Amino acid sequence: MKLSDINRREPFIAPSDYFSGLTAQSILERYRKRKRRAYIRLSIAASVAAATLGIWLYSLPSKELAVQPPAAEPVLLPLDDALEYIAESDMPHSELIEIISEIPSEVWLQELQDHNLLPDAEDLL
Amino acid sequence: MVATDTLPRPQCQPMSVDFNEQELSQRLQSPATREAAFAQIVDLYKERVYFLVRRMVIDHSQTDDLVQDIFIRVWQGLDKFRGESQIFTWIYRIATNECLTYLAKRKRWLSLFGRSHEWLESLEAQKELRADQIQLALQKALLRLPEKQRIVFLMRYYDEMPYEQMSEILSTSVGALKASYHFAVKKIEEELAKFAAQL
Repeated sequence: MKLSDINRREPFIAPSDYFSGLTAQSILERYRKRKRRAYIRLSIAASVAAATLGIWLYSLPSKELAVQPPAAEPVLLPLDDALEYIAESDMPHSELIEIISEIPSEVWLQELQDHNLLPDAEDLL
Repeated sequence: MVATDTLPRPQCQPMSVDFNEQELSQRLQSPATREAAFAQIVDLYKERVYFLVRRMVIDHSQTDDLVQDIFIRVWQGLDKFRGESQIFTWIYRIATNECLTYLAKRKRWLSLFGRSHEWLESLEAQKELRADQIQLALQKALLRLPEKQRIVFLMRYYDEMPYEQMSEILSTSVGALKASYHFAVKKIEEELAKFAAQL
């Protein structure tokens, strides 16, 4: 059988309303959402990296720099305070890691929003 | 299901006679007119990009994702577009590169999980495929071609694109493209002969 024996035609058809919904506006909206998500991911990764660095710094054997730990406090602190707390505390590593892992992602997002890094985080929460 | 029925037509030239390539190219360069010019190229080329991608990846929702990604790439690349090639050629180059990248990833993924046969099965599941038996056999034969050869065949056979334009899009010599198309036709006709023998 030859190709010329076959009636040449477009093999696929698109859903009826597809092309009317595919506009520059919808494409740019997708692009902007994607950029926003990438920014959030980057910010969270940077926050986690900063917290990890804090833990690592704390683990250095420099007892002279260690200060007396404050009394046990609720753990949901703003990021800057949390890092300061980590740096100043002599809390065991396992406990610190547990505290950090318990902080829900909403809190990180809220942090970003509070610092005006992410003005429209609400619709992602 | 009611569907958009796009009949074959020579698709390698812009559809609108009012289309002014140079003017549009200038509007794409200027930040003040860029978004409106982008809207115009989306309207001009979305159907052709859609069908190019759809013939390559088969599934509508994956095609939709890829088409949007392609136009996002176009938007991101506007700063680099200097009007040295036609807008259409530039968009098609982005589209073919995106398709080939996607297909390579998909191939790796499917073979990793031993599911290489799924693609052929998904072809039969397409509600929007105008599938009489011969058309289905043709599409199955197409899926057996290497990706680059398939894209050459699709551009030439369905879009009736000149080899010179294909050469610019695919960065391949005209001679190599002609050879690739010739071998693709040969393989497809062998597959079709097998199909005819089963009837």
